[in-house]
Amino acid sequence: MAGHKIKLQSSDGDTFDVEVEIAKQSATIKTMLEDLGMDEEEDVIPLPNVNSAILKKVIQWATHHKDDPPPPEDDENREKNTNDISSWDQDFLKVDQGTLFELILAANYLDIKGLLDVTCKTVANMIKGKTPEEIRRTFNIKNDFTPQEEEQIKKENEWCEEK
Amino acid sequence: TEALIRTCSSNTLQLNHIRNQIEPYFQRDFIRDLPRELALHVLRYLPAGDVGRASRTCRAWYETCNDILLWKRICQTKYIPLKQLPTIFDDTIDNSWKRSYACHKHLEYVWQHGQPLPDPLTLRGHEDFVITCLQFDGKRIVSGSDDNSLKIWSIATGQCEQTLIGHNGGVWCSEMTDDLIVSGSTDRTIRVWNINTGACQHVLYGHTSTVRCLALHDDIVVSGSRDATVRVWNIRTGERLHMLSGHTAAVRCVCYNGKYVVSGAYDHTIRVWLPDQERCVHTLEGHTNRVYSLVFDGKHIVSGSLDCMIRVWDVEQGTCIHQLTGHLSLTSGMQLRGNILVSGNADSTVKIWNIESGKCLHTLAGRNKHASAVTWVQVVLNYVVSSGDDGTVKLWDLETGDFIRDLVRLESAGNGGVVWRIKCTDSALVCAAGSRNSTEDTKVIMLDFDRTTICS
Repeated sequence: MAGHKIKLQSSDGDTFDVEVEIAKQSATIKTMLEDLGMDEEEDVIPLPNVNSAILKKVIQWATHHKDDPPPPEDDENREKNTNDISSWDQDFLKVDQGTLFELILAANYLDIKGLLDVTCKTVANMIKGKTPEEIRRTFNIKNDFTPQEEEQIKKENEWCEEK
Repeated sequence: TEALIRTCSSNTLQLNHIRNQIEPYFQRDFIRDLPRELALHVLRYLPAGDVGRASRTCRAWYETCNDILLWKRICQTKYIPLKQLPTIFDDTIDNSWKRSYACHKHLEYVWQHGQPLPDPLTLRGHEDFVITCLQFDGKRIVSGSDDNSLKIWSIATGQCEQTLIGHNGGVWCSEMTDDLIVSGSTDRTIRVWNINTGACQHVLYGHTSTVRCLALHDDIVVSGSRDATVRVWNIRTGERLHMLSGHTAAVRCVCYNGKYVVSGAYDHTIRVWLPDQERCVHTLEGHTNRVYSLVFDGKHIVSGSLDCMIRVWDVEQGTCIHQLTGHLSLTSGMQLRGNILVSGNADSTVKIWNIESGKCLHTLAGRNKHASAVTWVQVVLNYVVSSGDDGTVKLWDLETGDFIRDLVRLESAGNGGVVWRIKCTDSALVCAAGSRNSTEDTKVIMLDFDRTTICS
């Protein structure tokens, strides 16, 4: 039924009215609706793992992508591309690392493949082409190797630098 | 916030200080803090070099970045097999798939940049006859010649271990297993030889003219002959199993994958057979001249013909999917890797195609191209190796189509020296070389890239 809405409730108690078709991009919600017969308008779907700010972002993403074709199955044998993020998604994901982190967890919990892929790609792009020291600075990582370990691990990865 | 910034902005030092204080609160260690499965989801988007560098940041990242399935997948996307021990990375890398990748990377480096090129191991034999076929398993080389013999050469000793004598006509095709060699000859027979003793174990009689091509699968060998038939034999027992007749002219090339036999012939057709039923399931018509070369991956058949065309066919439907146009002469050799086809042609170029789209991706030509016909091509690592009538062997980049360097240049190159055949493993190149006019001895040349040490 077009325009039919359901209510999603965040962990901190806020509820959001969302069109069923948009909400169903989440395989988790889709399964709940279909398996549990939760399709009455009064029903509220509790999402105890997603807070209000993140849920709002997720709904914004799903609304923009509601007419997308279903994402293709992963081809295990093909190299993955990270340069195919749409400009809308790039803008949408110009957020602090904490928000991006929460979005990945939410996309995983809600099982929204497109959102999970694009958020993970964004993190991958933050790692790509950087030296170990640059990666540490990007994510505030402390180097906890002993000098001996560091030497061994450098050796183990020397082939990366052969051009 | 704006007021705060305004207050501080008079002093950028202060602002920087604040930023440095605050920034860590917004940063997240994704790889350490995400559930492992999600951290791996991120890492799956990275090329191997980035995963390697990421593993050097800290212990937690090292742990996740060395996930065995992550590396297995990286290897699979690059068609890199699991490398058996020993390797030069045994002491440094525990993860077997990562080690395989590193070995592959190292070998690529040596093929492309190793200086100087390895000293060639030169094996002289077959007098001034032509070497028509070549086999190489990393330890032994088998050369077949129109001098009626085959020779088995040991890499370890650099000596000819056996000369296989028995055929009464030139040898034109051969196959090799761990312990047997199979050869086909103008004397109309196929012979099966013991690789260790050199003894002839079976002589397979039946063809009524030259045996021109062979295809081996497990213990079954399929032979194509100038007598227009295809025959199927068991090389262990020497049994004649099947005869496939239908072609109306010489059979020039044959493939077998354990299910289908595919044969290309001078009658311009390709036939698909179910050998156990001795039944021809498809006759593929379209070429307007003799079919000389075939590759078959179980799904696609690719055929090269004297009509200058390469055709891609669907084995199940028996239909032509694409006609690959662009070459100006006969396609001498082809190799398929996934969707990527490499074809060597008598027009002196090599082309790289996508057989799904039917598009030519690269033509390996330009000022470093072969001066005359390309005699053979092989894909090794991320490269194309091509041999030519001009006495050279060339290395090209499979992805970009760029020329990299000459691996072999015979002394008589340009004066009649020819490289007839090549056979590569990931770490070695074997060539059969000679000349049309006695300017160059007939010989086998091997370059072993595994023994090359590179200075870093």
